[in-house]
Amino acid sequence: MTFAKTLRVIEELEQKGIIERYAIGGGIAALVYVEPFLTYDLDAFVVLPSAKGKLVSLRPIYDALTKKGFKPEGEHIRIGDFPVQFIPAYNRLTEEAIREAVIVKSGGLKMRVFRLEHLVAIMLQTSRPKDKARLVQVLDQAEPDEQYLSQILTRHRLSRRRAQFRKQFYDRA
Amino acid sequence: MTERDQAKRIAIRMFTAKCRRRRNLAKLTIEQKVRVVLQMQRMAREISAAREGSRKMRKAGRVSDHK
Repeated sequence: MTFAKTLRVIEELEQKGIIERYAIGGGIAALVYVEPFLTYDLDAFVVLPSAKGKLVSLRPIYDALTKKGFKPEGEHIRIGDFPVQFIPAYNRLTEEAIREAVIVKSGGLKMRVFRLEHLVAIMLQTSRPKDKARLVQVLDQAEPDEQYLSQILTRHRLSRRRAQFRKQFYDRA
Repeated sequence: MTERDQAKRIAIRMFTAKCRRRRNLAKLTIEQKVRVVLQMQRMAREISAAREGSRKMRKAGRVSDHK
């Protein structure tokens, strides 16, 4: 199964109303903006139809996909070459990232993907060592829209986090 | 060449490499990038399998620890 087909399976979930909206985040989304690097899974951020005020359940997604013959692997479900992790929007930043995600067309492929600025903000928010390492790579190879990024960082109180990141990686003693 | 000239040269070389990388990057489709990622995954798996293999061999005393 090609990558395009994997994306189509995810898109079908949206068309059938099993998910309200999806957007690709994480490493695969970063690939749109930078050189290829090693990443193992595909992060599909989702808004679920019944998520408001209720307990979030991924069951309908798993049911629909296992019916089609795809197999769960721990927290992922393998669709073609990639283990896909469905991540329900877990805070305002990820909700916004899904809402403002853009459609990217490349070759015969079409996918909804987080904007570069949201990827940067999420990496700053999570701030695991691997996020920081990837952020250095992203900022080296891509140019986020500074004004748009600053607005996001201010809105989600991440400006200080960025200052700390800059100090850690770019300040010379 | 002064130290300042050397630093200038290195900066120019780095900037040129960055531009070249960006040009090459723009030529790749996402599908091609994904193919590269899958190849990286295969290589990473092979390396970790080889590491695991040699660890087991060492444990079984069939290969010396000496470098």
